[in-house]
Amino acid sequence: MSADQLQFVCSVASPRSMYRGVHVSDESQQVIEWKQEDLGEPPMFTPMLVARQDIGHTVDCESDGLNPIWEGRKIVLAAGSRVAVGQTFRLQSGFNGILEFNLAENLPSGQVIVEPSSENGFTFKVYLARDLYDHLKYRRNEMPGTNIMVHVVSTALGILQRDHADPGDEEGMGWQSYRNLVGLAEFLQQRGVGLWSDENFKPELAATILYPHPIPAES
Amino acid sequence: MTSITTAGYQELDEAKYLQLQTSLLKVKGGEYQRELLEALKENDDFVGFIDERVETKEGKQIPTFDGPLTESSFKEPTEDQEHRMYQLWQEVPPSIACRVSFWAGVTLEHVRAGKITQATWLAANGGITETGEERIDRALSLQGAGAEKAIDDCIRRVFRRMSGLPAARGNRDVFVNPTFGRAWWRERIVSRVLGRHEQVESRPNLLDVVRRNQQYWENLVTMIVSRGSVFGSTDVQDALINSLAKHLIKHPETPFRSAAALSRALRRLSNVAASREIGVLQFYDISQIVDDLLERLLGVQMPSSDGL
Repeated sequence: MSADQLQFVCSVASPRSMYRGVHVSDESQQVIEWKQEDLGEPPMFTPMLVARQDIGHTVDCESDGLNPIWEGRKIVLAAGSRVAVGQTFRLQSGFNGILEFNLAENLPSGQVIVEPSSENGFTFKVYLARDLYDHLKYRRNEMPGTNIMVHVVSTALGILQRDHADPGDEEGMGWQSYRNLVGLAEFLQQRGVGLWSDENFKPELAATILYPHPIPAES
Repeated sequence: MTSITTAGYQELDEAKYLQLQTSLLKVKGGEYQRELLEALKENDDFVGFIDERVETKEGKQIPTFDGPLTESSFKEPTEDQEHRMYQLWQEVPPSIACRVSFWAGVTLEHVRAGKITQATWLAANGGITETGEERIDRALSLQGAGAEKAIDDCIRRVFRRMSGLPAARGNRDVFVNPTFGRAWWRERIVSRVLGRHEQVESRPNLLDVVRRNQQYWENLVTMIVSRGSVFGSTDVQDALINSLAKHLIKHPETPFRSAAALSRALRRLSNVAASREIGVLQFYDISQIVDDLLERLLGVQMPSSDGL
C-alpha cells in the first residue's frame, strides 16, 4: 500500500454535547481546530490512517501480519476504511483534567473548599483563598503546594468513595457514565493506587502515593 | 486552569443542584421527598424550596417562552412550539445546552414567571389520564411500599422534566427528558440538516424522524452520545436523519418506524462504521451508504413488501 493511497485522519469527539468532527490531512502532523462553545467536555482524539479511495490489495501475510490462510487473497478496502487506528486519548489525564481551581475572594486566608461538579464531564471545583490560589499558581511544586494538593486530592477521592462508589454502566447512573472518571480510574490503576469503589480504598493513602508529603531536610 | 468556560448564562449552581438531587433521591418516600411534593402544589412554595437550597448563578438570562403553555403542551410541545423555543434560545451554545443546571434554571424561571402556571406539571407522567397534581395527590395518599415508590417516581419525574438526571442513561437524559432541553436539541439537529448545502428532505419529514416518539428520539441520541459510538462526524448524524426521513416517506409500511427496528438498523450501521470512517466521505456518499443499508435491511425484514 503506498502513502498516496492513504490519508491521515483525526476524529474529535465530545459526546456530552453531541459534537463529533473528523479532520483529514495528507501530512502526519496536522493542526486541528474546534469551537470551544461546541464542547461539553475536554475532547477525545482518535488518530487513524484511512483509505483515500477504494484500494485493491493482494494479501502478503508476512508484511500484513495476517494468518497464512489469507495469503494471496485479493481484497478491496473501500474508501474510508480504517487501515490503522491509534488509541483514543485526551490531552488531560489523571487529576490535572479533573480539578478546576478557582479563586474565591470571599474565603479567608488559608481556606479551601472542594465540590463535585458534572461540568466538562465530571470535575471537582476547588475554591481557594487568595493566598493559596496564588501559591498554587506560581509555586505548586514547593512544599505547601504539595500539601495543598494532598488535601485536595484526598478530599476529592473521599467524595468519590462516598457518593460515587457504584460503577454502574453506560445505561445506569454509576461513575462509569462519566468519561473523566473512567480516565481517572485508569490513571489510578496504572499507579497501583486502587479504585475508590474498592472496599478497602483509603483516600488519604492514595493521595499521598500520588503526592507524597515532603519533609524538610533538617527535620 | 479549566479548559472550558461556562460563564455567560444564568444557571443554577451545579454543585448545589446535584447535592439537592442526591439528597432528595436518597430515601424513597421519605419526609424530604414529601416536602417537595407538597411545595409543588404552590408555585411560590416550589420556587422558594429551590431558591433556599440552590443559588442561581448570575449571567445572561434567556427569555421565557413567549406563548401560552398548558400542562399537555408542556409535557409534549407541538412542532410549532418547539420551533419557537429554539428560535428564542438558539444563541445558547451546545456547551451550555448540554448542562442539567442550565435547563433546571430555565425551567425554574418559567415557574417563577408563571409561564408554567402550575409547578405540579413537572410531576406529570407521559400519559393523559392523570395530571401532575392528581399524580402527586395519589402518591401522597398511598401507604407502605407502594407510597414510597409512587413518591419517588414523582420526584424523579420532576427532575427529569426540569433538567434530566445528570449521569442517568450515559449522560443522555438531558437530551431526552427535560421539555425545554429536548426541544432545543431536536430543533438544533433539524435546523442543522436544513442548513446544509446539499439537497435534503423537507422540515416536516425531518421532524417526523426526531419527533416520532420518545423512545425513537432516545435511540437516535444514544447512537450519537454513547461511549462506544463510532459515528465519526456530524455529517454522518445529518445523513442518518435525512436518510431516515426519506425512507419513512418512501416506505409507509417500513418497520423502521418503530424504535426497536431503528435500534437494529443503527447497530448495523455501527458495524459498518466500526471498520470504515465514513465521516471522511462526501455527504452524498454517506447518504448512499445509509440508504443502501436501510433498503437492504428492509428487504430482509419485509421480503414481500414494496417488491423488494
